[in-house]
Amino acid sequence: MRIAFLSFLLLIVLAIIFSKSTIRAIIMLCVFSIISSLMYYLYQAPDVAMAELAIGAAIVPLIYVISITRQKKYIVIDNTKDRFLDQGMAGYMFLSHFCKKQNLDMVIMREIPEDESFLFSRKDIDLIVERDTRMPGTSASYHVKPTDRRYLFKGSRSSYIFNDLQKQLQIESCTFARAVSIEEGETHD
Amino acid sequence: MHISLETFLILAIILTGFVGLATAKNIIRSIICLNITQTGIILLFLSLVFKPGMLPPVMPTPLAAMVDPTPQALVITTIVIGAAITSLALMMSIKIFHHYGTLDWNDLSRREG
Repeated sequence: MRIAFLSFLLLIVLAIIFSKSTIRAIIMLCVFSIISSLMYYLYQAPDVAMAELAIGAAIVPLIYVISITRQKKYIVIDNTKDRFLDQGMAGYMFLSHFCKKQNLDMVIMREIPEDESFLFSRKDIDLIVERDTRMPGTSASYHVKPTDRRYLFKGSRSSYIFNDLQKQLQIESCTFARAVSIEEGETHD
Repeated sequence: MHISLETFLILAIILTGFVGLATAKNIIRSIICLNITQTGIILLFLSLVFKPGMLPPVMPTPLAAMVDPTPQALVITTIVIGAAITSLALMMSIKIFHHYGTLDWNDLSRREG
């Protein structure tokens, strides 16, 4: 009986290693934890079996699934206060195309509160879109007419995804926006 | 030294976890293989003190008839710490993905160099 369960565990391990999709491997890890907790019970350790059933078979796969859904999110802060990032507009089209190419899920956050402590407390922001109040070549900032408004894409300098975004901007030769990289350690504002 | 079939199977589970850790292409796969190795080591600890016909270490059982509770008490800590290590490693993998845009070990080493 114990040998049968142990062989089954070994089969599940081989299936995990050779499985193609990660989410299937996580489900099989859940089954592996349940069978191993049964194995602990057969080894006369019911307390360890209870802990494994609660932690190994429930909480750990939950953490895996949460982290897989979290890492695909590309969080964009909309600071433009106009319709640049609305569906169908130029900025939205560009960013959604870019995210589809990079296999990411874009999440646009609006209605940020005025106090900037909100931005400081959130470290997982990937991109900030702002209105560009400064034309290249001039140092004075002035108000631009709504027809030729330009926009800023702010991101971290060391991020490879942001470097890809800069390259994409150059390839498509977009005139409506330019990318500004911010040093690591600085705040995103 | 005589190795029973059970011990052999448990060692096979541990070694397969190590092989998966060495050959995994994805970071998430590596963390899964770490979990597998941990479970195999727990099974090894529990199987070392077990003999057929013994009872769990609960109080009315006579001392001669119960399994040694010391490895069980050690191992129950391992489960909790394993969950903590898993969540820490997954958090790091999220940070790596947001920084490098990939979770493949080969792509990561290429991007660093």
